[in-house]
Amino acid sequence: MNNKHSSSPNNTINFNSTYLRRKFSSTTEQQAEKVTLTESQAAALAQRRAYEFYRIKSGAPKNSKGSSQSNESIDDRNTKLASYAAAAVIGALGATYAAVPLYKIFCQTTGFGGTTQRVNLSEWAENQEAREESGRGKVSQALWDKLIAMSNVPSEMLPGSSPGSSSHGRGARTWTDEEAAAKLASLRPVKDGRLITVRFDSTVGDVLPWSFIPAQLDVKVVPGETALSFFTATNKSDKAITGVATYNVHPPKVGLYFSKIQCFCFEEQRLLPGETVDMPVFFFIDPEIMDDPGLKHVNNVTLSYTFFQTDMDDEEDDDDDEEDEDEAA
Amino acid sequence: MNFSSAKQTVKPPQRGIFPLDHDAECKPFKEKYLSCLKEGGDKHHLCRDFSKDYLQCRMDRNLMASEDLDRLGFSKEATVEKAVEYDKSKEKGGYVAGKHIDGRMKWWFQR
Repeated sequence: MNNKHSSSPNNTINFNSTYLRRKFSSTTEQQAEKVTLTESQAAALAQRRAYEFYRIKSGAPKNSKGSSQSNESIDDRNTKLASYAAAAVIGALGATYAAVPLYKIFCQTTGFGGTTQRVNLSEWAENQEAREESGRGKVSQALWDKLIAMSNVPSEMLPGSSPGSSSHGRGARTWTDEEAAAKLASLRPVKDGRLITVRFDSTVGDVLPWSFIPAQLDVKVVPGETALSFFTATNKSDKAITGVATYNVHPPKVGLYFSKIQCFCFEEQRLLPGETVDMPVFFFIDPEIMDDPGLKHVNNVTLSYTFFQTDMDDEEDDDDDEEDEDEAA
Repeated sequence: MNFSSAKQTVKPPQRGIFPLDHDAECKPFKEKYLSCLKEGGDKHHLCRDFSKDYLQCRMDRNLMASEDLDRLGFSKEATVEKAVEYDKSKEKGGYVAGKHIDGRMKWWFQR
């Protein structure tokens, strides 16, 4: 009889069973001795013996197509499973690679997370001439483009695009001139409104040899009231330098309600050497801020301006640039 | 650059850009406005006339697009009558959590 339990603790198996003797009949009796197998081999062997035992018990013929099929089907099934697993891994890798351009497309269409809109190539090429004419060096041009890309300047405000009339702007976000003017004319301060302290903060880019400070530390404004504030900029170097300013409002949610009527940001300002100039900001806080529950307890708002250098003029070019400035102003 | 993660809204100014006052023509008006602010505790509605004068100066010297000042928020109806100043209760009270809640807040779909 087949004795399945003949495996000794040392994993040596005595080939005493008749089945095994028949299966390994090609080997001589001398070789039918104790053979040392590894654990996995012993396990595989034991499994096969078990299958065969039950097959014989149920009367199925040995070495028929069925048994060989079932023997091979284990291998087949293993191969199948392995190929499924490999396909899953490759599929996941492919999805990872595909996700990058897909996410980019998603961000471009929806503007999720503050993605800026892209300019299409023909418009960019049209502006190329204007860019070259503006006389900026290639390096400063590249820096300028990078600056614009990094900051959140709305596309209407880029220098070179149509100034003043926001009705031809790219998005529907800005009011047309008439709407804005009408809103401003009908603007009323909130009755018994709380005074919001607008604090001013200024930073100068590292390269820029200007001193740029607010002329007053803060101004207390009621929402709906138009207010004026000043910054003073001094060019401390001996060359005429052009700078551009960007601004930020903190807390960020107040930025929705902080409207500027006129200021000095996003456009190049050129200071002659040693010149001091006052830059005003004319702004108001939208009365709708009173309806915002998240901003109910906001009493301090910080408006911070940062000045960056865009170009430095050499002495020889001064006359030409001044002529251009006069024409542009 | 501001690296805050909250989405920053940056809007263009409504009337564009102030031309630079290179010759400091309106400087005296500015000085008057600033000294008024200093005396009045930085409250703008007390110094409204001075800011009106400054803008008028700019318009006269062609440093600003001429416009009716009433439409710029300096009309009589746009005078600030009473303004409540924040009494620094939070700072004085020691920033106790929950003390400032005085009403139920509404969700966006309840408004």
